[in-house]
Amino acid sequence: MSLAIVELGTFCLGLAFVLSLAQALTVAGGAVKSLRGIARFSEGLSLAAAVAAILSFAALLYAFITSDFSVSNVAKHSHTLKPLLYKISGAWGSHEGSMLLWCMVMLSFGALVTLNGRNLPDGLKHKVLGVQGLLSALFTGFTLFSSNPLARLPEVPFEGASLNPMLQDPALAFHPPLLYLGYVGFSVVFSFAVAALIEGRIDRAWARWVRPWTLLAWVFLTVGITLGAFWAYYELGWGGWWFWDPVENASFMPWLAATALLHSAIVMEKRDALKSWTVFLALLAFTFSMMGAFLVRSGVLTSVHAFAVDPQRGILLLIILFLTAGAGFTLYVLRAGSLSSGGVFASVSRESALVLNNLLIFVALSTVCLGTLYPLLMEATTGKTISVGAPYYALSFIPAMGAAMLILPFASLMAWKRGDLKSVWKRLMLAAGISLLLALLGATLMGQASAKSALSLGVGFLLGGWVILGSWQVIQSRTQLLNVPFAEAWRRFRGLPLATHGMVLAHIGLGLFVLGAVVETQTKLTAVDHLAVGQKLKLGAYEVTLSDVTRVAGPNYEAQRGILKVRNARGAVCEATPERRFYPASSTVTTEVALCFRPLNDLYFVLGEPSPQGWQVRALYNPWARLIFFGPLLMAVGGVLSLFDRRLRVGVASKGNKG
Amino acid sequence: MILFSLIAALLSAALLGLAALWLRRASAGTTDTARGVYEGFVADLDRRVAAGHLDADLAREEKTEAARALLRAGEGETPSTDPRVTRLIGLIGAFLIAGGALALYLVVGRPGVPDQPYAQRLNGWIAQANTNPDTLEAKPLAEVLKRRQAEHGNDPQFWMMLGRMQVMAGDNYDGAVSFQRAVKLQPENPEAWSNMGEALTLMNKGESGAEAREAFAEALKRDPNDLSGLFYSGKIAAADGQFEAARGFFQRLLNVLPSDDGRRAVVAQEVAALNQAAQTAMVTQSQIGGMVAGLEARLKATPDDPDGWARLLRSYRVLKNVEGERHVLAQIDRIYADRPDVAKRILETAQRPVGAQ
Repeated sequence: MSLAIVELGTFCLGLAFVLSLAQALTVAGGAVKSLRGIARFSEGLSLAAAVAAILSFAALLYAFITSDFSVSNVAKHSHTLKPLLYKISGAWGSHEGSMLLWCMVMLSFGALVTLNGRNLPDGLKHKVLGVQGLLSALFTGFTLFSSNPLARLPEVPFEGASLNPMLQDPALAFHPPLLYLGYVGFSVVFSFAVAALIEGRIDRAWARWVRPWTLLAWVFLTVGITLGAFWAYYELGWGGWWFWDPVENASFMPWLAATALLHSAIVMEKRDALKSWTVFLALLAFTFSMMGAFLVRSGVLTSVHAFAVDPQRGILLLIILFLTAGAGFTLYVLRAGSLSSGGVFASVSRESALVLNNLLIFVALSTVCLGTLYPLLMEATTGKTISVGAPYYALSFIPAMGAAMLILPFASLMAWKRGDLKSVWKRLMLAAGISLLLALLGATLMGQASAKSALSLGVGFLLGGWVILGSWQVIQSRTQLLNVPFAEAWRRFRGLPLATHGMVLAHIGLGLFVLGAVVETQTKLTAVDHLAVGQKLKLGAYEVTLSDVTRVAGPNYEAQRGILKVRNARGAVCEATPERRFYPASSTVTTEVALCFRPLNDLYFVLGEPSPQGWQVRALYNPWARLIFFGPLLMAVGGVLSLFDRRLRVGVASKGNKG
Repeated sequence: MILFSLIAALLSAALLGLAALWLRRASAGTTDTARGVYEGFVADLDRRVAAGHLDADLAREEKTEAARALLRAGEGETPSTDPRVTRLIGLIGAFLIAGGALALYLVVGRPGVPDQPYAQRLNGWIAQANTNPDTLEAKPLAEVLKRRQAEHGNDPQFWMMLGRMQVMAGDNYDGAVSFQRAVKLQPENPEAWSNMGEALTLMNKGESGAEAREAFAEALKRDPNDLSGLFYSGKIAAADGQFEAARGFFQRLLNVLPSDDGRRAVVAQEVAALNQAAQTAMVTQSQIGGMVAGLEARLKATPDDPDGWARLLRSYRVLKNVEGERHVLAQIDRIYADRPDVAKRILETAQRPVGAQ
């Protein structure tokens, strides 16, 4: 008896489509007074649709694990010799598979609204489920009809074409699912915004309901982006971690929008203010997620991240983007007038500081958006190709974010409604003094290469130090660590809400990232040479000797492995083994970077092509590189802590003031 | 197909049952859950007020809001639609959903097509290889043979056979690895060497690298009349611009091949191409020679011209004039003895292809 699990997967995908459509229709039908009760069906339907999508994805995984090359997607992106992890990650290594992952995540988020939405008013919950159902139906329909990952081949090949070797990496195996959990997580926030606009009820309670969903998606996106940056850092062999590549920007834009949203939602929750702005950001975050999906899949971009997909499917995605974002923003325009703000606050207050912070983040977001889309629009309209790179962002994005970081400690310490700038400044004076000192030390001791480097280091140390010490001041102020006995301070520390701990950790993470980024980019050292076995290369205080090159056989590749012995004045430091790998299945040669992890710094080695003069060896010394990845992870931990704050897990209804 | 239909129907029923179950459960416990949430929330507020983290006024306000939420949850329970109508709609909806999913599947799916996991296909090939191996294509045959490695690991003929199948299937890298095993087990076999060289050449898109060249040389050392060895050595010599040597290899090959062998035509084509290439090379050589002579004369007059020396060095390399290259390198060393950085730059520039600078 032959099984047909793949076909059952296709059936389940169709079922998920119909169920999500039904989920949306029941809510629409529930708008009719005599049929109000059927809106409740959307809850169960959301669960059923999620299970159907999970089953469909499980069938795809099964096809990849068993190397079923009758499935076109498996034949194009897998190989019998691939290690199991990469057979599994191959399921989302293609456009079609990743679309199914997208749908599964979206439908699962819908189910989570049902499972965790007991504290939501029925009306709002059902409208959220209705919008989420409609979004899911659009994306599931797109996947089913134009990008079916379970489509079969009439002629089954003997072997698969294998997954791009660059994607066969542990960090990249987990990067897409995390990224999608972030991207698609914003769909719930979008649904909440549209549902609230339909209801005409946007209040403090709404902000409290939306925040955990935003936080959850933001945490996933933060980890996803960090993993992607780490992958680029050690897999591409350039030693860089962020290239302002349009596809990287596509993931960064929703992250920035969500960061602004997290802060504006706090103001809305506490003070019943910034309603219109918060809803706008809620719509914007998922719109940018969808735009990212379009950019990666439409073929308009050529990037290591982009799926090579035909423009026809790109147009379909563009239609979905226009339909959903268009409907959301049209509704917003129609209802914006009625979203009056309740809370009044003085110009010097935490609310004002958060508004300013939001504006600056939005300016930064706009510069990234412009830098990403302008070259595409230019090429589409004039045929000219231009590239927008780091210098543009250094002049536009960094000043805006720098200003936002200057405000950050003030916002954290300022009182709600009416703040006292003088008293806050008094509490921050020590932090400011130490940050200035750090800036001077950093610029003089590390920035000897050029005046520009010294300036960058000075500004980086000032901002990083200011954010870290300023954030710590929040803990100091709340616990009075230096003013009361330690036991009392400890009691107060433990009594702080998790959200406060989360906020402080996230801000410290940001400061650490800034320090890492500025020190790494300004003081990194590079040395390249052709080395015969036994020859040496000098890299700052380190001496690198190519002691041997051996052949090693991997599961699906053969590699030439360089053995590099690294020493400094104190003796042996490490042995690095960079590789040049040949993947016969795709006839591709890749370089595998070797990293010597020092506590904060990386020694980074690449084995290049052999030549008559020897092997090309590239060595980099990346100081403080660890902070670049540790900082964002700390931010994510902060987000998780906030997520567990009890206040976010319980909902409070509105005061009854509509709009 | 019947089994598939049955499973699909059961799946639909199970998922719709899950939806119905949730509906019943959700309707039953709304107030209890809301009360639990309310009590937890109020307790949390009290804890925060006691710890001094929350103003009493704000806590009171939040409690009032929470109480309103509790009341609203109770109101939500009021049924607004006739339960019979709801049930009927649910039933019709369930049939529409299941029917719609089936109809969709019939449009996008491939009913009746079973899974084809690789292990299952391999078992099929093994069975076919045992009964009727001639009907198997090269790739499956190679895969079947690979499964017998444990039994035949020390048999050079096994590796030769596997290598041939792999090369025929286009897996040139795997083929080269198999021939390498054959060479290790039977180094005196010229065919194993030349087959390895051929697989390496095919893997390298027709270009013979150092390993392939060595393999062909080893093959001819053991059998001067090895056909592949002669053919590829001729091609290598032609690619290196050693036209006379190439002609010699092809001639020896023609001497060995029987007069009615179809492969003679291929060799004749290679010889014709060789003659053409030799003629073109002669013309180019004389043109470059003229330019080189002019450049040499200019450098004699004005020796401090790093770009000129780089060009001259590159020209000798293109012409494969080892003597000339050695002479230029000696001149560069002499002229730039006190400026090693310039000498290094000249050597680097000469490495780059024409036009790269």
